[in-house]
Amino acid sequence: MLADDDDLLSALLDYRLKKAGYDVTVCTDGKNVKSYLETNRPDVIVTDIMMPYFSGLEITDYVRNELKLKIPIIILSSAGNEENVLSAFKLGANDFLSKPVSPAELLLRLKKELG
Amino acid sequence: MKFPSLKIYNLVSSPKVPTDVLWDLSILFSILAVIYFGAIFFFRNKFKKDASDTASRKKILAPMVSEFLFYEENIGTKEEKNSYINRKIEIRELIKDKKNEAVLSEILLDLKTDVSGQTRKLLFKLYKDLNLQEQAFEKLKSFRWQKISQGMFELTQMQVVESYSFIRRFINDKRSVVRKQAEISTVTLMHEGISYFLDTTKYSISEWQQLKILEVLSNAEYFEPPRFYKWLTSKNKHVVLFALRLIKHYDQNDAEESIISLVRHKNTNIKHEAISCIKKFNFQSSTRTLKAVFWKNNAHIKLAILDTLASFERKEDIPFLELVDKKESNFTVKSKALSAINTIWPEYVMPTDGLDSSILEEHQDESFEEIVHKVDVSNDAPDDPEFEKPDSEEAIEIAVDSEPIETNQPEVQLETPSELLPEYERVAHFLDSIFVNKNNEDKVEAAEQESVVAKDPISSKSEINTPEPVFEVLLNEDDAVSLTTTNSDEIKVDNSILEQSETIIEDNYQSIFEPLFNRADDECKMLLLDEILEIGNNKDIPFLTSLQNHHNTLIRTKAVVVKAKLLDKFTPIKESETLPLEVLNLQTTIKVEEELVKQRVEINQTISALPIEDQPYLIEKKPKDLMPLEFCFLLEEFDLEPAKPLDLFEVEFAPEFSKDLKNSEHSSSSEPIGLTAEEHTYFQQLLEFPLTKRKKFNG
Repeated sequence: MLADDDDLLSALLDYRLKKAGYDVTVCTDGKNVKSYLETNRPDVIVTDIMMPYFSGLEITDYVRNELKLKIPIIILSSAGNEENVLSAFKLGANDFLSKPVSPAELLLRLKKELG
Repeated sequence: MKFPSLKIYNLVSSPKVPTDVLWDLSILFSILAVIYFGAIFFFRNKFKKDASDTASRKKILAPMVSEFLFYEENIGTKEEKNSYINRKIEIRELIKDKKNEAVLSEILLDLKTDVSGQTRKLLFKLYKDLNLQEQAFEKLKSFRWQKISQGMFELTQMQVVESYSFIRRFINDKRSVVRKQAEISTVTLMHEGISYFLDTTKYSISEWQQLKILEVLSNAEYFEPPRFYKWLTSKNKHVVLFALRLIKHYDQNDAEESIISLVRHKNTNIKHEAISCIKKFNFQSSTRTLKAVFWKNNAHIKLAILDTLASFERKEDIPFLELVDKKESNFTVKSKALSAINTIWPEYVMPTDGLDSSILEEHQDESFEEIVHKVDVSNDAPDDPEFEKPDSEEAIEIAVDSEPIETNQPEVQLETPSELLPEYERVAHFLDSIFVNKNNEDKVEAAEQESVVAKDPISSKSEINTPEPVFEVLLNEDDAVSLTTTNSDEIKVDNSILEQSETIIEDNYQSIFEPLFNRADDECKMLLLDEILEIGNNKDIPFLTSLQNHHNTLIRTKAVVVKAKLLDKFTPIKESETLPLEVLNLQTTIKVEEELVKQRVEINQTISALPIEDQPYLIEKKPKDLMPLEFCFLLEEFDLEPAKPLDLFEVEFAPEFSKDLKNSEHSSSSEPIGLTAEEHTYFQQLLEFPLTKRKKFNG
């Protein structure tokens, strides 16, 4: 699952991931992500921090503490400051990528998380 | 009957309202409101429609862009290749529409900020492949400043290097927005852009712009900065200033002379920046120039110069800094000068203002001890084989951080309580008294002088700064010591006297009773002498010795008695005295018996053992003798007897009973009246109980 409110970037990454063989679901805000997670269990979550309704950190917290899921979570953010990175890892994120993001790098990290 | 007629006057009259005009105005404002809301509605819809149109165009173009970006020519299948070619044809058709072209440019610019690495490079390539830069070049030809600046921005973001020669023409544009964008674009697009910019710009470069350019240069890949000293000769002072900052940023220290010469520049900012460079690169050859220009500058520059001189840490600059401290009127500059001196030579300038002179500092104690120690060492030197005699020309200089001390002080001042004076004054007083006495007795012969100079930073500082007295102790060969001051007054004293004086100084100093004694009246002095006997120790003996010359006969006598008792009290215990009491008693008994036997045979021999009562360690200190001094004064003032200390074993059970008991004790009969023998024995045991118990406790 790919969660990002930036349509262009999400479309670009969606295309790249699909081309790499992944089945991708794109969500454009936090509400969509939550509603999607209520009924579905993705193999991996790639989420931006700054999103409408619920941020990527809130979603991480929701997945780890409420749904009690161990799904790998990769955080994407342009606000790659230390505080955000630490918060993400404390909440249970598996990886952190700063924007501008390299699609090739994202693919490698996804492969790593999915084993 | 007539009623008085009432006349009504129109005091307030309503104005005539031109209703026609009002109607006209209402209609006019209604029309304006309709036009206003109509315009808002129209433009809102237009913008909404444009936004939705752009979004729909983006939805079509974005996947195409993704396809182009991630197309891999080598890996792709034939179908993919065909699809790619078809897409390319399709997109070229699409971008023939100006709107689509603008949207595509917008997409690529947006994506440029979101992606990195190879994808970004492909993005730039796609931009050029689709000839989107043509549109940006068209913008450069526009007469509107915002269009030109937008075009330059787009070309710069997409790294269209070919646009460099077009953009750099705008560096000296009279429109500041265009000019600033041109400067950034020029520096970004080509590495030599910074050189071109510094060569050609005629306008000022704002601080913000300098930061932006510096950021661009810092982020540029494989950028090798030019030698910026070339622009130190620019006629544009802003270029000079920026060049200095770049020199500092890139650590280019190859323009020492140029930078030093810029300290004499008319512009304050350039001067300040040049001084900053000098400090950073530690151009110590600039010292003369800095000192020369110092007095002509404002406080800001002066502070920078002082800071730079401090960073050089050259002791040769201290006189100049002291001159600044003396001559400068600005408080901050003066403070900075002192700070610089202390940076060069730590603790060269010591704090003097706002100090409480009555409080003795620790280091004064040390200096006092050092004085005694140094003289002591000098005197002991001949006995010590390892001791190297200092050269005769050297002299021990003892710097005293104090106000000048007059050697010819009146005798009245000597009677000042010594504890109220600083320690060095006490020493001086004491030495004075000795010197005066000694001068009256005999003249000291002039001799070859041994002197040791022990200079420390503080003493040498006082030579420079303050007129504080410096005492010089000169050691002569014939065991005479002379003390000279800076006023060249010389006082000489015999070494033996000095030794004696040392002992007295040391011992008096250690007596805790002396300060109290000096303040007390004669009665209190007597009480204090009692206290010395009880709680004093051998440190008080010299003090008691000094009291043997007291004017009061009683005190003098008592001092002698107390001293004698103290000496007895603190005589070292003999080996035999360390033996247990029983053994001692036995020894005494044996010796006395032996003596008796010897007396019988008439052999005259002294008995070595002392009576047990005279043993020093058997003296008991009673609690009542350890009463506080203030309490003693109170008792004496109110003519009271001190209360007996409470003894738990001497409690009277009942007054009547105790009275009977006393009577019975006084009576000669062994059995009191009214008591049986058993009762008597019981009460007798009861009464004797505390005594037996106490004896047990006392061993």
